[in-house]
Amino acid sequence: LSAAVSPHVRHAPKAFQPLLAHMLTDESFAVSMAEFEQRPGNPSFLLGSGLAIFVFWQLATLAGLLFGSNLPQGLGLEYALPATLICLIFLLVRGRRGVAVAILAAILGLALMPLVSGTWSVMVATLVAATVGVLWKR
Amino acid sequence: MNVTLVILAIALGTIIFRLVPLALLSRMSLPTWLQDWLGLVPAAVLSAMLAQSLFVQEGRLALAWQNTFLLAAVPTFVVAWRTRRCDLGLRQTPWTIQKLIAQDCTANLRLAIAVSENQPLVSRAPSGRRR
Repeated sequence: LSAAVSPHVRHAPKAFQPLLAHMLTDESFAVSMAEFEQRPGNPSFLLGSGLAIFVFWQLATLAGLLFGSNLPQGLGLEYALPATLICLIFLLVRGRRGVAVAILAAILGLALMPLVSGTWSVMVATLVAATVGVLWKR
Repeated sequence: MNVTLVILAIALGTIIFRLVPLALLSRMSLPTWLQDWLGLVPAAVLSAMLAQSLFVQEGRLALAWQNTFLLAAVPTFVVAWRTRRCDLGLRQTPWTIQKLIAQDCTANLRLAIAVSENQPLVSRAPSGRRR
């Protein structure tokens, strides 16, 4: 993610970059990339969207620490992650090629799961799908 | 003590992995094909993660209707698709915050108007704030 966002933070002051890197999450990345596509050249958008989630992330972690063990089971909170991912994907996918690459990555991710462990299957699926996407365009 | 050390080590690793590519790559200009490739990576990562979190339950492939995550994903897809469309239309308004607040209400409003008047969703007047 940080490699993909790097062309857009070129004009940010160098002292600013560690802060930007710290604010980089899946969520702020997706929102920022969508913004950079429309209006490039404003790296502070990443800072703003990052801060927006960062604050609530810390508060929610604190809340979980204090009250988490008292929550009843079966609220379906686990679904929050897939739901977030779906919205982010809609922000990031562009064009027919983008859809094809995303679907390919999904299928590969599932197919590779029995062969390699979780994180690695995602990595390999991503690398292969993106490479196929680049080659396809030529 | 041990746990604290592990947390600190992971934190350091995360910071390095986020900062190094961002700091290095933002200083050089990348070839077009690499930029193209990097542009495809994010959606692919999220898509692979999503597929695993939706279709895999307790380590097995779960494609039946008993998989509640799959059921819940259907309305989520619909909402994500509609609000994204609308988001693009609202980009004419200058204020990001206004956009964010207006986004959800307007999505439903626009859809209702379009359906009732049998209009395509894509055509949007610049002064498209009907009440």
